[in-house]
Amino acid sequence: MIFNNNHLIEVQAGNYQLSRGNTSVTIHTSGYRISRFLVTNSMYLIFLNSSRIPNEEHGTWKWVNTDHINTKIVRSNEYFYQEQGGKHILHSPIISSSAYAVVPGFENHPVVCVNWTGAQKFAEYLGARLPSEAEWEIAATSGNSDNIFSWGAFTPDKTYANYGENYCGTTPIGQFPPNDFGGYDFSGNVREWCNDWSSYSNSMVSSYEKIIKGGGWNKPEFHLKCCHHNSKWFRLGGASIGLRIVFN
Amino acid sequence: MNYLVLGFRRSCTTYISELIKSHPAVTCLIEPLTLNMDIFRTREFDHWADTEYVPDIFHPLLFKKPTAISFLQDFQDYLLTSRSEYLLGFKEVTLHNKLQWIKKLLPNLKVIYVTRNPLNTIASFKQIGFTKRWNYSEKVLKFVNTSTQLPVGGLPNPSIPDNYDDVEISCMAYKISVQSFLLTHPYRNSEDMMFIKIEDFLQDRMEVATDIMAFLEKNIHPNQREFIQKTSFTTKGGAYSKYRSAHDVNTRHLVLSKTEIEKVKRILVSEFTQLNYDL
Repeated sequence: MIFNNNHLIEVQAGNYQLSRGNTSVTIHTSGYRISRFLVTNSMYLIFLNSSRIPNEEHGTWKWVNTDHINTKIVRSNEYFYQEQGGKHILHSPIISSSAYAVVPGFENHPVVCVNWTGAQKFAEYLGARLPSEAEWEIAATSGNSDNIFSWGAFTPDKTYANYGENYCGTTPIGQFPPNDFGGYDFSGNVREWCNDWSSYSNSMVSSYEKIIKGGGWNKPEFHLKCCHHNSKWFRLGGASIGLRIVFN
Repeated sequence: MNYLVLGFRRSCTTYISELIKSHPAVTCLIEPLTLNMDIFRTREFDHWADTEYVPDIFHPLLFKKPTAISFLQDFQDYLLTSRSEYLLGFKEVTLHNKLQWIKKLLPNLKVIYVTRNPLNTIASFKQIGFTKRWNYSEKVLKFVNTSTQLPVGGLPNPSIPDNYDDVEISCMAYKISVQSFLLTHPYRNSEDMMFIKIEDFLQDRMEVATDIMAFLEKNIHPNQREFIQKTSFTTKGGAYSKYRSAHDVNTRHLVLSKTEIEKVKRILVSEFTQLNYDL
């Protein structure tokens, strides 16, 4: 089983305030369960290896770019490159009967280089879905709009979260203190795909960009704010974009 | 309008694109073609002319490759939604000889071409291990043996490929890319092309950043000023980190031996001159 109840936070039905600059908005939710931790490489691997649809076709990635220098999911039985100490190092194949494998030592790190479709397919595989921006933000702030960051209002530093290239890459899930709801890595480690199409910057792009939330290991401090939102072209994964999922 | 940040690998193109996309009304995709379609990696030195742009399949090599065509179609559709209130662009390192083709894909494209002192570029290229990673030995030798389009002078002895070392291969990859770009880009005397020497940028990041944004018809944003302030003074992070001091960027050549430095200068003498770098 990839997820059990211990892996989920219960967000109660009710009205929640979300900060929007100098003002706030009220959001009603009928309640949901959101994953306590980011989806890890080993979780995503189960989905990827069980899928009957190939991840790559005609020299193009569909869900996760397993050639990206920052990915820790690689093709089994093939030599692969990883960045170590500022160098691209060639590694011996990981022998496996499955198509893909996780680089040893990174099983518990959040999956990255997954595009939105790959994130959505993973959620669907588990009978779940991606969070809306509001659901993500309620969980990240523990339902308290005074919490600028997931840990509260204290100025970020590297003991609270992984951001700003302080750790040269992702860190294992749950390494930093949890928020009041008991959720981990909402601010920092990797940014997270949400279900919403972008609608705030330009209506023209609203069919192409999905919202991402939370800060990333290679992103500056202001991305850590729970109200900060950004959007990305849904076809591309990134070195610091991962996911968590929601059950109704 | 769209824009492309282009430069040879290890020329600080990632930094420039991160700076640009710190503006909340600008986005920049990081190597959407090179990182996601193997045709742009394996055929890095192939020249694609505008006549090779084929509507519906984009390029003859993509015939009967619907997954690749679908990706490019989505890429084109998305980029063409760019408007002045939300500008869309991308950064690439392997399109030096495909700009004529790219201009057909995205007709209203501005190009920011980023250069870095070839000595520092080759040093970084060598240090990170790109010759093997991107199979440059094979690609360079194939180009040298088959191309009739471009001058490839400078290689010690093209008939003895096994004698090439990593620095020579790196220099040839640099030479092929830069010369391809200089000879074939469709922007001659155009206001749609901007050259950035990263050394000029490092001398006054704010002024050059302002020029870049003016080229993109935007004012510099407070987030971009913050980005510059936060990333300029210390070096930290991995190979693609934005946090780099000017000293670190400008002195990367110190990892090369004296013999290697002489080799770079000998093979790339014309590129030093054309890009206005002191030998």
